[in-house]
Amino acid sequence: MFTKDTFRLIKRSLNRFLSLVSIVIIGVGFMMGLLSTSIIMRNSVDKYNIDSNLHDIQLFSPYGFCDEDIEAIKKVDFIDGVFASKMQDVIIDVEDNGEKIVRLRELESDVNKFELIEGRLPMKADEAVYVVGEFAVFEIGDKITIYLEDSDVTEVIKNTEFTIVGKVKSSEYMSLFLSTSLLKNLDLDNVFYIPKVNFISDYYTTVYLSVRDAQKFQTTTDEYFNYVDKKGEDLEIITLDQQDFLKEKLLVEIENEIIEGEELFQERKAEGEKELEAAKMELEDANLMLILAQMEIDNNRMVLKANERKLQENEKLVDANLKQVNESINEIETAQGKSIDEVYNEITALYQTYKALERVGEIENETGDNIYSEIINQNNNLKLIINENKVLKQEYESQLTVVNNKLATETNPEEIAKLNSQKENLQNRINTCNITIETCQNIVDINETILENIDDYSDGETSPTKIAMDEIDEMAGGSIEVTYIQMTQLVQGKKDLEAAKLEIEEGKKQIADGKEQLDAAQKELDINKKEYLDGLEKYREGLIKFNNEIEKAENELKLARQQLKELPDAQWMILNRDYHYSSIMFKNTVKQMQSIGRILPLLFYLVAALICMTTMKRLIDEQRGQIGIFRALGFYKGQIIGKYVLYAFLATIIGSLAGITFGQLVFPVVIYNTWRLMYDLPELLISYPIENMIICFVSFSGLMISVTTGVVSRSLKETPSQLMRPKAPKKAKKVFLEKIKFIWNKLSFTSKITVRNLFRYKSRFFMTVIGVAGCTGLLVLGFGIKDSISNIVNIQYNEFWNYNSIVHLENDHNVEEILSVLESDLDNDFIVPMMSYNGKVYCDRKEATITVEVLDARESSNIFNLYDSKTNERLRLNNNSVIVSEKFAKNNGLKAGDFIILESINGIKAEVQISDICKMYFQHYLYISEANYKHLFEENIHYTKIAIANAKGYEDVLERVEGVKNISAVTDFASFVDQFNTIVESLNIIIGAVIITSGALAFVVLLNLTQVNISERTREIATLKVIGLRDNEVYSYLFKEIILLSFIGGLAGLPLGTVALKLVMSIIEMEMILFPTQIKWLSYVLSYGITFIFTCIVLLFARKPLRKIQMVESLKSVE
Amino acid sequence: MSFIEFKNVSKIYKMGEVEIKALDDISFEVEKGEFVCVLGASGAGKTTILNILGGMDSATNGTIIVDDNDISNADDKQLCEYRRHEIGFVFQFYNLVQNLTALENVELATQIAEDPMSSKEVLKIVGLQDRMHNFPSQLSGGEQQRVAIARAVAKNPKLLLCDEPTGALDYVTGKQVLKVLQDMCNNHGMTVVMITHNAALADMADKVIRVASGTIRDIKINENPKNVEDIEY
Repeated sequence: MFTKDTFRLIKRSLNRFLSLVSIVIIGVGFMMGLLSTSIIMRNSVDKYNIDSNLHDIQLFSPYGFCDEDIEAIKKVDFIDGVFASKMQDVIIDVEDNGEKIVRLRELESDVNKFELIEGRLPMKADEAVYVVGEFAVFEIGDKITIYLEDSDVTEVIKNTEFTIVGKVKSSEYMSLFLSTSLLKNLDLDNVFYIPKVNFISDYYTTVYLSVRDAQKFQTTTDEYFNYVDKKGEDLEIITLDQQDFLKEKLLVEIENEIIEGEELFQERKAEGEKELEAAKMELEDANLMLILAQMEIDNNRMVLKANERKLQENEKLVDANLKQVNESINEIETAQGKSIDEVYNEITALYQTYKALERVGEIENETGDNIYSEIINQNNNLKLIINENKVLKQEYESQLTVVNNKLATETNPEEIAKLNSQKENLQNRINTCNITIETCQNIVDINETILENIDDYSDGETSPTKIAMDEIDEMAGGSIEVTYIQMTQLVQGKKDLEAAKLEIEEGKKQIADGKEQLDAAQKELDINKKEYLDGLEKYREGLIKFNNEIEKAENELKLARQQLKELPDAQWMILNRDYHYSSIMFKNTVKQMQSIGRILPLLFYLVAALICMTTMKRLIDEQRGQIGIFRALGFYKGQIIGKYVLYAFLATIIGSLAGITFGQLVFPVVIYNTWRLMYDLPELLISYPIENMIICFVSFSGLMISVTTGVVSRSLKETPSQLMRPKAPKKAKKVFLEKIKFIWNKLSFTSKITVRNLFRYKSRFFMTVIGVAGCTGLLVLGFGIKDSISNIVNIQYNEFWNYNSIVHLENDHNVEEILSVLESDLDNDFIVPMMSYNGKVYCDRKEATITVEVLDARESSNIFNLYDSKTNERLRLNNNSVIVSEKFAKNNGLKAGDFIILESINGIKAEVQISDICKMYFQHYLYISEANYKHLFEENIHYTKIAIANAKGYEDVLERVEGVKNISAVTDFASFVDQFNTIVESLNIIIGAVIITSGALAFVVLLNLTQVNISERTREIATLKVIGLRDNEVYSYLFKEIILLSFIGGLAGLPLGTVALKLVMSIIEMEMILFPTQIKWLSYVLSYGITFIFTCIVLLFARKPLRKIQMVESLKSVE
Repeated sequence: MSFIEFKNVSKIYKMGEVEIKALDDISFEVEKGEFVCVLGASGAGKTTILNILGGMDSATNGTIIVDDNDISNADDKQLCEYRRHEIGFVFQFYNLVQNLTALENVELATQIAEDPMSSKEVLKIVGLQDRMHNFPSQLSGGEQQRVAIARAVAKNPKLLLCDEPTGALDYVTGKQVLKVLQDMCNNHGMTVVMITHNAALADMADKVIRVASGTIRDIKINENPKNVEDIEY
């Protein structure tokens, strides 16, 4: 009977029962769902890790590992599996995608096994498989060619070309964001497995270890990590000595190499110097020759010039003369009416005749004169001779006398002989003279005779020849000779002049030739000069280059020596899965899930508890009379409590079952699939965490039972008779507001009642307000999460980063060219080159990696809008500032003003002071100006990328850089934004669930409260109806209260939700992403609005029951 | 034409196959300004008559005319208006709004009436001028009932219906309340219909209608109704 009553009770107040059930469903479902999800996720990954034998510990060493190292490790007893592996990062070119950095791994592996999902495994050395992931742009059959920038890749990998034969999935590379490459400080783009024969090096890059018994623990739990860490520490201690082994070996090798290098250097240096000297001398000789040649040419030019001048003068003269001659000739021709030649011939003839005559005359004269003169001359000569001889004779005769004299006195026979000969001589001579005198006298006498017979025509004037000659003279107008001479002069003159002219022309030509030759010679000389200069230049260049290279080589050797000293300690890095990128990301995700799973349901839980309490209270209040009856009949308190506990318990069971089912089925699948967007996860392993189910069920049941018990107990404090009477109404008092007369008097009746009611029924007031506030708060939370998350992409990519494309450079050799190609006139287009690298930062002995961006300070404000993380002031990069992003600062406990040690791109360390912390939502960044960087590290800056804000967009940028060298890729932020949006949207689904659930909760709460309101005051309502209040008036009487409560509750919920948001946001933070806690005004309005709308809907639905209240029934007196 | 006319009124409750006749073909008349007493044992149907008269319930059969107004087939809205303007009801258990003072409870009624009396005046009439600003919980049973009467009367209704008004009160207080009712009738010309199971009170009425098992036993007319003070019981 007793229990029958309970069931009837349920049936009669089905609405109430169902609302209770629905609260339980929502609460349990949510709790269950979130708790399960994290467990299921963990289990699925666990299984996957175990199946694929993911390593527990990974070792790295600055020097790699040798076989001796491996042996030593194998000896450690708690290490089950030791697998040494070689890997190499290389570069490949992907068509239309630029350069990609990929990791080559050994195919054969017992640890971190991978799963073949398409194609087959490599069978030949030049085949490969790749790990599927975000950046995989390959197909089976594609060929890849690998290379390295600074060295020959064939020194480390045998084959340079590989054919892709399959696709794999690897537990080691689960996260789609792979780790940083060992090559450059950039992220890896992909991973390939190739047969181990390709790896030439003797040393291993890394060693994977399986720790004994580690599989006992579940992945991502603290127990697992603690266990493995401890073993890691033990390993460190055991292998301490072994760790130095390889370093020592290498030190010796390197030292030797350095020495060899130094020797070679000296050799080459000497050689070079010698060559240079020889070249120098050659050049000096050549120079000299050239100078001489030039001098010659110059001289010749001068001569030629002089000649030319002379020629010109002559020409002038000739021309003048020729002119004159021609004039004269013209005169004559005109006068004579004949051509000059004709005239000349005539004159010549005349002249010749004249001359002939003259000759005759002359001969006559000559003969006469000549003979005459000859004879006279002869006679004169002869007479001279005669005289001479006469003189001689005299002399001789005198001498003879002398001799004779001597003879007369001389006795010496020799002397006598001499004197005799002398005498003879003299006598001879005297004879000769006598002869001569005689002969000559004879001739003279003959000649004198002739002379008497010659006619002397020396006068000439009367000879006939002469007459003829005179005639001719007359004909010639005076003197034929003169005329003839004149004419001849003229004619000849002309001829001569013309000849002279020809000669001059000839001379000119010669001069021209001469000039030409000189020009040619000069040209040749110039060519030679140029050659010489080229040679000189080359020599100089060569000299500089040589010097540079000497310097460089010296520096390198110095550096090598230094580096040898600075070689890192041979300490092995013993890394557990915390350093395994995929693992750590996943671990964080699971932790987040757990955190969400713990906090969010708690909120629902509280709200649900509230509802339960109200519902049960109402029920008990209604059942007052019944309870009294039962007590009067003699039932124990416990039995009565039990009755209602049963009611509650049934609701809980049904609700829990439904909730668990819903939570278990829907949540994990939805959330898991969402996480799949970020991770390449294995199949979902649905598990049924009985533990959690029991926890959920028990907690809710406990709640319900305790609430019910509490409420019933309260009632049971009254005596049965009291219970059977209507409840004594609570004392009414004047409300505070009444004292403010002028407000109070203005209020309408219903308003007054509403106000009084609010203050009178405080518990109802608070419960409603809390309930509604809770729901509004949850709505705010839901919207807030959405706002915070959805906006970060927008702010990050449009606000913080003001550029929309990046041109990645292979090197900065032609960066000027690229910059000019990208230049644009538009005001809002900017191009800023930057150097970007993954730099190490040391702070408080901790080491972290951050993306360092180096750029010109002034230009930085064109493409970055950085805001201070606390004050939101705009930050400007100047030459003293080092700006660090917020999340990084948070993670490493840094604030503005702290000092950190930053590494340059070449590994040089320097201490810097952080000047500001900026807001940044993705990843970690450190911004530093070019000048500052140069000042700190004294290194040159080599740009690695150019940031472009281009109004025309990505296509325009692509067009401009078409065909330009040294560009490795052009990326477009639009695609980045899409990518990140996908990731960020993964959380949207959870948020959606939260919002919907909150909304449902809000609805149920309000419905419940309204119901309670009505059922409590049935009598009151009936009375009002009797008095004659119309339906509308009755509604407003009642609903004013509810609306007011909803209003207050809604307002209270807004700050509540904001606080909850902050809490939740701090929990779901991810390593690299900083979610700003942000709620749009719209969200507040929406949350409030939805609550309000629900209120209205609920009230709408409440009208019917109100109308249905029967006055008669409700006012039934207790008879 | 009488002020109130009940003609062959029946109220039948049907629950599945079971039929319960609360009123079985009842007919009576009441004149304006009369003080009518409806007597009968418990469950006789008195309250049902009053409920129908008061527009809180409708008859299954029959005609009910009040002041030339046929309310037999009136719908909910019409009945509401009827209650609002024509009727003043006094319950056995007062049914005051706990959260309002005595004055406000009366004002609740005067607010919706067309031609109400002054709330304060009415409270004066019932002798509660000093207790106007007290809440019901601060008033004794008699005082509460008087407030209820004030509330009902303040509307200036044509008809004052009282369902065992003194049922929850002691002798002296009860008499006080009845005095008020009588005064309303005599001094203010209200038609009063009062249900009671105390036969002694019949003497104060002009007309006494006896009801038993859903039917009218008899209707007696008092030529000389007594004053309440004179009635002993």
